[in-house]
Amino acid sequence: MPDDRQKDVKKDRGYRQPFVIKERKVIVQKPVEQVKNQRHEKTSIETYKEYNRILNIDSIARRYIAMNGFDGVLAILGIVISSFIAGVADVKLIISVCLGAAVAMAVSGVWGAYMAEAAERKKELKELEGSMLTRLKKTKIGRAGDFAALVIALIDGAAPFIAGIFVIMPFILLPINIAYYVSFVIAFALLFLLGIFLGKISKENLILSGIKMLFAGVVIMIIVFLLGASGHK
Amino acid sequence: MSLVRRLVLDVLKPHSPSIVELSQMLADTEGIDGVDITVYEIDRKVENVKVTLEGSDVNMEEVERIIQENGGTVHSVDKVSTGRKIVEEARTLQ
Repeated sequence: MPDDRQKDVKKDRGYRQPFVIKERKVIVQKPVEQVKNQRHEKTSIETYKEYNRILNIDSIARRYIAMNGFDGVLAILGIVISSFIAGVADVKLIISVCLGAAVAMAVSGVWGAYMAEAAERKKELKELEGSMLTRLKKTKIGRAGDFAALVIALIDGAAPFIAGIFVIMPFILLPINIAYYVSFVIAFALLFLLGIFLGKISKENLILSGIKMLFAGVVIMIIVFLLGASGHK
Repeated sequence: MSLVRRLVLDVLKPHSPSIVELSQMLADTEGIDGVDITVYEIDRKVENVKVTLEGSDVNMEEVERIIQENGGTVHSVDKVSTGRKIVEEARTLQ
C-alpha cells in the first residue's frame, strides 16, 4: 500500500522521488574463533611496512636513490670522458680507476648517510620524548629510527655504486674502442631513467624530467671536453 | 578473581602509529573482542585518546605493554567493569 501512495504523490505533485531508500545491508558478524585464527606473527616485510608508516622511510630512500645514483653516474662519466680525451687505451686502468671511485662513493654514502640520518632521528626522538615526558628509545618508535638510519645508509651507498658499475660494465665486456661509446650511451640512458624516476614521483612530464637530467650529462661532457682541450695545449 | 570485561583508559600517544594501527594491535590481543579509540585532544606531536576495550578477559598488563611499545603512556584508568556481566553505571539524582 505505501508504494501505491508514493506513486500517487508523484503523479499528483509532478516531481520525482527525491531519494531512494537503499536496501539495508546485513552485516554478518564473524564468529570470535574465526577472528582469532587471523592473528599471526609479523613477517619482516610487515615490520618494514610498519616502520615505514611511522617514519616514512620510502620517501627519504627515493630521494637518496635519485641524488646518489645521479652522483655515481656523473662521477664515473667524468672519469670515462676524460680517459677518452686523454686517449687511455688500457682497460685495466680505466676499470680500476672507476671501480675505486665507485667503492669510495659507496663507502662515503653509507657512512655519511648513516651519521646524518642517525643524528636526525635522534633529534626527532628527543623532541618526541620531550612531548611525551617518557623515554622512547626501547619502543617501536626508537627501533624504527635505528632501522631507518640503517636502511637509508645502505641505499645511499648502493645507489652510486650500482649506477657506477653499469657505466663501467662495457669496459669489462667489450673491446675498448666500442666500450667508450657504449659506456656514454649507458650513462646517458641511466641519467634519463633517473629523470623519469623523479618525474614519476612528482607526477610530471616524464620525458621532460628525463631530458632535464640528461642535460646534466651534456654539461659534464662539455666541461670535461673544454678542460681536456685546454689541458692538451 | 573475576575477569575484567571492560576497561576505559586515558592514553597519551604520538601521532604515529595511528589510532587505527593501535586499535588493531589491541584488538588482536587474546581476550579482547573489541576496541574503540577516540581522540579528544590533539597537540603538535602527541594526542590524548580515550581507549575503550571490551572482551571476555581484558588483560590490563598486556594492554599497557602494547600501548607503551607503541610509544604511548597510560595516564589513568577511567572506568572498569568486571564480573560475569557488564554492569552499566547506575543513574542517580545527584
